[in-house]
Amino acid sequence: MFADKIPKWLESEAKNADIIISTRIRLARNFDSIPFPNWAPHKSLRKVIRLALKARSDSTMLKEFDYFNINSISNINRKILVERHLVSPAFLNLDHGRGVFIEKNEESSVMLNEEDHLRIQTICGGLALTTALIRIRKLEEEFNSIIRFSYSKKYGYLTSCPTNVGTGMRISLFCHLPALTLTERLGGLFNDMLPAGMAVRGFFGEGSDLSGTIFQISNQITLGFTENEILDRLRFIARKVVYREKQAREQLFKNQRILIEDKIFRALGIIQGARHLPMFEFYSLLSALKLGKAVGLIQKISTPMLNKLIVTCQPMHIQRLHSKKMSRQDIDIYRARLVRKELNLKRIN
Amino acid sequence: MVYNIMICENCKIRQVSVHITQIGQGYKKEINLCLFCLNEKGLNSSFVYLSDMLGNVIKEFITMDKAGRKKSLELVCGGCSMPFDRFFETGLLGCPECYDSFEFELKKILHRFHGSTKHITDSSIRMSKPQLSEITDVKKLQTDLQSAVKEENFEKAAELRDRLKLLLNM
Ligand SMILES: [Zn+2]
Ligand SMILES: [Zn+2]
Repeated sequence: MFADKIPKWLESEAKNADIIISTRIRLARNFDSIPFPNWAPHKSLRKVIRLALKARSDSTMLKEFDYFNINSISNINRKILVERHLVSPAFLNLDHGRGVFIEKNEESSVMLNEEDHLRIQTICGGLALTTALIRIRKLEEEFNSIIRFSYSKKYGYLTSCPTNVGTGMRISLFCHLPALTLTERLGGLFNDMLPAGMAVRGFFGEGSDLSGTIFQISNQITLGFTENEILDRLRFIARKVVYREKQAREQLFKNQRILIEDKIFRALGIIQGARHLPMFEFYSLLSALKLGKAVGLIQKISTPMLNKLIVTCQPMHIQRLHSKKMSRQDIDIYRARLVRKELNLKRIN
Repeated sequence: MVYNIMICENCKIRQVSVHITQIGQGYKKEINLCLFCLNEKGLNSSFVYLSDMLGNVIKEFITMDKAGRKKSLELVCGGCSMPFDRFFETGLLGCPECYDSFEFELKKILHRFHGSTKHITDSSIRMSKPQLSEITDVKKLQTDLQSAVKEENFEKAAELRDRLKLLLNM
């Protein structure tokens, strides 16, 4: 079953993977002349699943995917799928006729009957727009060769929600921006993105807090721009983000070196001493370590080791290692141990 | 320094520790949670959803055209029999044919959200390069937009952005 190993994209040692953690592309596609899932009768939902399974049995590429009926897997495994970004949280609330294809290495997955008949997605570590686009195009083709997608000349790929119509493509970059957060320069960066039709989502922690340093930048507009144009825009923004974050890091180090060193080594100290580590505090410490790694202050820990923790320290991932139902506090206690173990750190006392 | 004590909007008990800000289609929305509720909601679900943005577009649209709306709400799709007013509840359409059945109204929403009502593929070649006057227009619009956002005048910002999008779309 999934979750026994680490998704491939988390092992990336790509250049700037400390700033752009991952690239994700998602395509929304619907089969011709079948109502969209939210308005479809049960038998249409079953038909979609039947057609998708047929596509899988006819394709060598799709043979690398396992199929799960989302309604018949355990609650904890369903939540693990969400924590691994393989299905959306909303997907779990839908009651019947839902399934998912998951590639064995977890790079790609296909939700069946979420908001659209097919939600095809692929994740790459680091900034890898072209790789992700090539991969998702191939995957799309595997379905398209068997089933015709609903498409109009005027509006492109027709989707259940008009916000996805056209290319049906959404590209998301997950970015780790500690220096821009600390220097409070995110506002300016994000304002630049508005005219480009981009949305930014994430946590904005307060002041010197590093917990809110991971952001998702994605295209909001899917109509009126071609796939390559959307890709180019994201590439342009990614370069800008990387450049500005690096610039902010340099400046921080020039002007406030002691304060930054303090943040990084304090984080290391807390991790070594912690008996109890809530999720949010953990993200803050992780962010400090990632920054420390990127600027060469921390040597023995690698970026993939740190990125991996983003996934494995989530509550359901911890719960699944134990047979007994854990309380939130149990999970926080176990997280403190897990982090030390994964980073090969000794506990203080 | 001013301390503003805010109460978490989820549990309405604990003090707020995290402010999540969403910068969307011409508006800014804040969600304020305590650490406990944030943990509860998890990192994924706390990312603000796109449908919120559509919701705003729809709301605007409803208030925009009250008289015309009444008539269009009575429309029903010939392909799937979904009544158009259901769209205003869910933000979702019933079938591919809905795009034809409700085209007149959907076009406005598409334009509002995407700044365009026409799909373009990589093979269809773009029109000729923009004129010089348009380029300076873009520059000016961009600076105006930035100051509008700074002043938190989101209505103006939305309008400026729409014009920018149109220009960039040419
Ligand atoms: Zn709360
Ligand atoms: Zn319809």
